[in-house]
Amino acid sequence: MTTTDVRPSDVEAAERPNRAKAQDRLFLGVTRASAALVVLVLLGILVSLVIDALPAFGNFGLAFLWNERWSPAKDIFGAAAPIYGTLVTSVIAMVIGVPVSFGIAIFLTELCPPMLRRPIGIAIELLAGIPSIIYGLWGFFVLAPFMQTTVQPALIATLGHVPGLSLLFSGAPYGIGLLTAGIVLAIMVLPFITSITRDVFNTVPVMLRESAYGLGMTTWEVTRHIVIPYTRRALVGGVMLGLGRALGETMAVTFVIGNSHRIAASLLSPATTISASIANEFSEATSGLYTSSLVALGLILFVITFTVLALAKWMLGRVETH
Amino acid sequence: MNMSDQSLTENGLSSQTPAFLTPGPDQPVKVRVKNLRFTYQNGHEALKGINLDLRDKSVTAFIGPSGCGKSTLLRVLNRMYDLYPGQNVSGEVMLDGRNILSRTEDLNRLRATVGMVFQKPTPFPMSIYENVAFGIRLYERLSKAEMNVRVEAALREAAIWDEVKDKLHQSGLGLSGGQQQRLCIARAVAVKPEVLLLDEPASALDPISTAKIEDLIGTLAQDYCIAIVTHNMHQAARTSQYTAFMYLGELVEFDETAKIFLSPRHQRTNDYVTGRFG
Amino acid sequence: MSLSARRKRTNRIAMGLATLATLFGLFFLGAILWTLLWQGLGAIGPAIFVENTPPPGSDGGLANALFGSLVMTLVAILIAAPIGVLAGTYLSEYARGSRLGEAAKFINDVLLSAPSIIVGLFIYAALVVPFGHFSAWSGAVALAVIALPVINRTTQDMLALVPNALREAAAALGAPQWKVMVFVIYRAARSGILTGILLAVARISGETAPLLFTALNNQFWSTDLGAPMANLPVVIFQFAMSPYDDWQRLAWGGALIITAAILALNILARALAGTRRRS
Repeated sequence: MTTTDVRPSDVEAAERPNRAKAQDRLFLGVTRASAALVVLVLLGILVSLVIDALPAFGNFGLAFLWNERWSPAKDIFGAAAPIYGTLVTSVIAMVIGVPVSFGIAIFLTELCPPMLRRPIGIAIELLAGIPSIIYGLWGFFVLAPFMQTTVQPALIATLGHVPGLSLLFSGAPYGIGLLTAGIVLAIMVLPFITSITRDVFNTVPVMLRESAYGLGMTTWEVTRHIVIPYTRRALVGGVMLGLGRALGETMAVTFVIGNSHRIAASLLSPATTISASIANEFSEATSGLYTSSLVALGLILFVITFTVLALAKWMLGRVETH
Repeated sequence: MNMSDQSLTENGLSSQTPAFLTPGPDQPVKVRVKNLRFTYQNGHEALKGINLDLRDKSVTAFIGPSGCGKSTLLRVLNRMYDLYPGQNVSGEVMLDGRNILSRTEDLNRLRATVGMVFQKPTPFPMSIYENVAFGIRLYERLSKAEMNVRVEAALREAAIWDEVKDKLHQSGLGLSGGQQQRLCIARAVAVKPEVLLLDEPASALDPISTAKIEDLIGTLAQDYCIAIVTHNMHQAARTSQYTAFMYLGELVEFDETAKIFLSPRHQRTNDYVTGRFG
Repeated sequence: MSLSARRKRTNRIAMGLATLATLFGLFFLGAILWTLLWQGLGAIGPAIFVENTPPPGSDGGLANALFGSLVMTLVAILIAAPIGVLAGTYLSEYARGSRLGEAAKFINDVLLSAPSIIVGLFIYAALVVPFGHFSAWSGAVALAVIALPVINRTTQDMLALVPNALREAAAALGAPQWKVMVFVIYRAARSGILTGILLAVARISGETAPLLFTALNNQFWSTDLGAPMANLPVVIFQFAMSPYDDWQRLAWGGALIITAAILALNILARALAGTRRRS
């Protein structure tokens, strides 16, 4: 074979580098524009929320944040009740969901017979994909009636008489309310936090785990003194990610929260959350100020979840790069 | 590797002298490297002023301990380093009298002229036929019949035609490691390069595949200017007419292969080729 | 009690609690699926697929809502998939280590779990208000905004798995960068990227909140993307909250259909990811 036979003609060859370069530039430009679009979406969300929330903040000032009154009839709005409801339901979800998720993750990584490990793991991950409206539906038709007839009367009868706790568990058993919403949220974030926690636990080097067992530690001691300290930061990140989900969750909560703009001490009372208020009222909002107040709620939610998610990402990211 | 290198010396290199390839008569210089320096992004100077000539229709082997810069040198010759930011090169690399380090060099065309085969086989995720046709299509517009001829020629050249002719349209990923590597060689020669860079082409292969690749290198040397990086002293001795020994970014010694292995001028070269270090 | 015995007891208690937690979690998740099957199967018959959503008190199905969900999900993916893949390409291939690229990756990861109702508000302000009416288009765009970060992120992850040697090998043949990407690297990452797109479909097909005030709802069969369009999640929401038994029954039927579809998509995506790992 020689190097002088069929080669592209010189003319063609001279045009080629420019054309290839132009195509490369075009491709780079298109991909870069797409990446920029993602950033623009975030900015667009922020800007549109701020613009539409301005009338509400202009009218009520920062007091919007801590004013409880919400009266569409009189065009007076305050965000305190939805903010309170959002925080309380999320806290309940975390108090229940985190220990249970950790328990499942420990079971899956340390105790589970290998035969069951994959099926249970996959089941948990599949459940994380079920849309939140399903959880809401179940909460509304199954959990809420059960809470009303069984759990809440029992709570009122027992904890309702304990000094200090009585306030939290007083009132009539409605079935719906903060506690029910919190429980539904907890069940919803369960698969989510569990699968992150399990993945995080699995990042512990086998050598480290084995040398701990080699010292004669029990499973619990290995988990408590080796696995958890080693993965602490990522664990917190995973929990924050779950918290971010819970704070912003709409459908699982809207069904069972009761939509009442009142701050009541009792966990059994109906309440509302930011996302539930928007979902329930936005398409019915008649006045401009009403709409603006709901968008202002959205802005508050966005700022809270953005902060929580950014922190979560930061904490998880550090561990990934270790 | 130490073991095998020792056996090389203990069994008496001199008795195997005829095994060394001798350079063809007066092959012209294909690539001339002049005072080449190369610095990585982290500031590490990997090449510290290299001067050497690669002759056409010959095999030049680059040997030396890991990190000596031999692979870096290879990746300068087709400017593969341009894929990564922050790497700095100075000096000249003349290919047929043209400095390929110049800023105006068309990299795509350069890389079509200077083909490369990597340590691990890198078949593209497409059929065997498409693997070979992919490169040809980049630079030539051929009819289906012409393309078939070219693909077959390339596969024959890489001594793999007989093994794949009945499954041209199956995935290249289904081949064995040695077959994959020969497919990659076919892919490289299909675009009719003038220089072939082989970066440890057999180090990930079993002994039988390695032997096939080495035979192939011998055949290819009749048509191309070949540069091969290898850790395997036997391989350098068997396949090349010239050998360059590099150490810590410098070219310690460069000569005909027989001289490097039988009567090196430098102690360090001697130590390395006899397996005393490295 | 000796120290060793106490340690063993602590261990037994802790491990007992972990097992209990697993049973507890699996019980609730199982209970949800059980209710869904129990209530949903009763509602599912041929009618649900061929008849439109009925007024209260008469028979009907979910045909218009199923159709609307399919259309909006499809449009959303057609918008989000190319943009997401290209954006992921830029962030993974071109922006390695650059500060702006890192920032964009961070923002994308935050968007990945941002509340979907906020996206609904954004699209309401950006599309519904300017055009003066609710529409399937705006619903589809809202879903696309939710799918975009998912596809972007998986594309990044999948491209990162393609060995660098393949990029070098293609470049070494003299291929320009875009051909390296389009003809070699995308091919190598194909099943992974497809998995990401399937997961995004699964994610958006159950989304309710962003559709509440973008696509709204429509009790009739509609193929007009410029008008409000029925969709499963919003119909489920409205029917479930209604006091009518037959509406609630349909809501359960719809919920079962959605969940089954999403589980199927997830399993398909897993199978795809599995074949990639094996090859």
